[in-house]
Amino acid sequence: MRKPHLFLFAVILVATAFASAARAQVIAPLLEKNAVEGGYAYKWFDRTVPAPVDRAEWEVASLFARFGVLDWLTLTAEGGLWGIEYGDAPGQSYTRWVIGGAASARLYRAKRWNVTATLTYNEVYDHDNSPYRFDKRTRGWNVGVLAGTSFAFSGQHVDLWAGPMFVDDLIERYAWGIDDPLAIEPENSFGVAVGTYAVLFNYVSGFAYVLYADEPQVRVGVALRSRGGGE
Amino acid sequence: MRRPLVCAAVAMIVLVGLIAETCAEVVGPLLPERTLEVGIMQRKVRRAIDKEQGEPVVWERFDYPITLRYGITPNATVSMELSGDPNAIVYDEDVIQYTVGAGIEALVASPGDCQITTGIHYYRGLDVYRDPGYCDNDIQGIDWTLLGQYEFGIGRSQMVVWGGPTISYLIVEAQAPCPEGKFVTDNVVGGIVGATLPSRIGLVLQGSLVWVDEPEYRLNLAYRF
Repeated sequence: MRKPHLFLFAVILVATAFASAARAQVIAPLLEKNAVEGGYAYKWFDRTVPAPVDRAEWEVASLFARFGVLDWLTLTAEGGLWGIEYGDAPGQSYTRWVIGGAASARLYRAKRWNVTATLTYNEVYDHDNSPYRFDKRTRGWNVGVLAGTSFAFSGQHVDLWAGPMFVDDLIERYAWGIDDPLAIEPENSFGVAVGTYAVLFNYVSGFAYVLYADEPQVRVGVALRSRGGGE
Repeated sequence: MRRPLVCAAVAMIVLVGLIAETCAEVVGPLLPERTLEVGIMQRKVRRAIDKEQGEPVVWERFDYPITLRYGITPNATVSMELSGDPNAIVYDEDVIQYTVGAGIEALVASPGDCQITTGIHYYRGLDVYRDPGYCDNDIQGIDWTLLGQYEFGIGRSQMVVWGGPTISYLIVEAQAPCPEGKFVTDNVVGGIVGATLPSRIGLVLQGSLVWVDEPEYRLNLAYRF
């Protein structure tokens, strides 16, 4: 009944996208309407970038919440705040800020098969608390169309999915006293993702997927979930 | 029949809110169970902060967090805020700005047509100045609120007015190149008053006025699923 008004939400979503950067990189199948998940995700990032850096590798953890707002639409929010150590220079200590979000919408469904469009954003800012102020920022957009299937395995719900992904990453390095950061972008912006998602005993879920763009990148997560249903 | 009394109580709460000081964050009326509200907020914070001894300085911050509120039960709503802006402007300076926060609000009592709720919200912010002459700021805040909420019909919509006292604690930690030091708020007791107008099409407009040494405001445009 509210579908005719969803364009208004889309307007807000677009407005927020321009006004503030806050979107994620947790990819999993749609939730039932009114179902909610809250959990922990871990990501290994690995991209080939132009010289002299050649390769960018890092890991990041975050907390996430997913909401099945409509039968065909799931929204995700992601955030985190961690203390981390880099060995670039003596005395450095970093605070890592993670923000992100995602929207996934079902395009097509036939029996156990479905096609879903997904848009995710993730931003990581490593703030150097030392006088060096050698901050690091990475942001990434993923856009994909994923084909998936659902089935029961040993009485538990399992999803498998795969599809092509547009992967746009930007890596920035800030040096003390320099306004413009050193920006590094991988030359390749296309990849493929393959993943699985399982719900155990209705209240625990887990996901794992590999995003291949230059190099394989793994994301895993575990969550508690509520059942969906209702109005 | 009890409405005049309820309105008087709400007005009292509002008055208390206006003469006190606060820095409450993502707050608003309780949401129905399993209802998600997603929006964007414009927020101005203006506080007098003090480094142990010495004259307080007025500290100001604007940000535009994305806000999420979700009714986990009919009597409790959780909230979350996220923002990241690599091109923010603070004091006419280029700043990279982040905010992460979360909170919960729960029903305490339902006298008459009113609801009394209490909530707690924690947030952390970062302002990174690209000009080396300025200090980066690491911000932490924790707010406790006690809100009276009253809902009434306005046109074809149901408006909610709300307000009450707050205890708000704010720490601003200055980083290099400044001498490291924590600036904390002198005053922690305050008040907030706000109004929420949900429309029949799911859009929600919300505004609130906060008094912390000087007036602050939050404006929120959201969609309620």
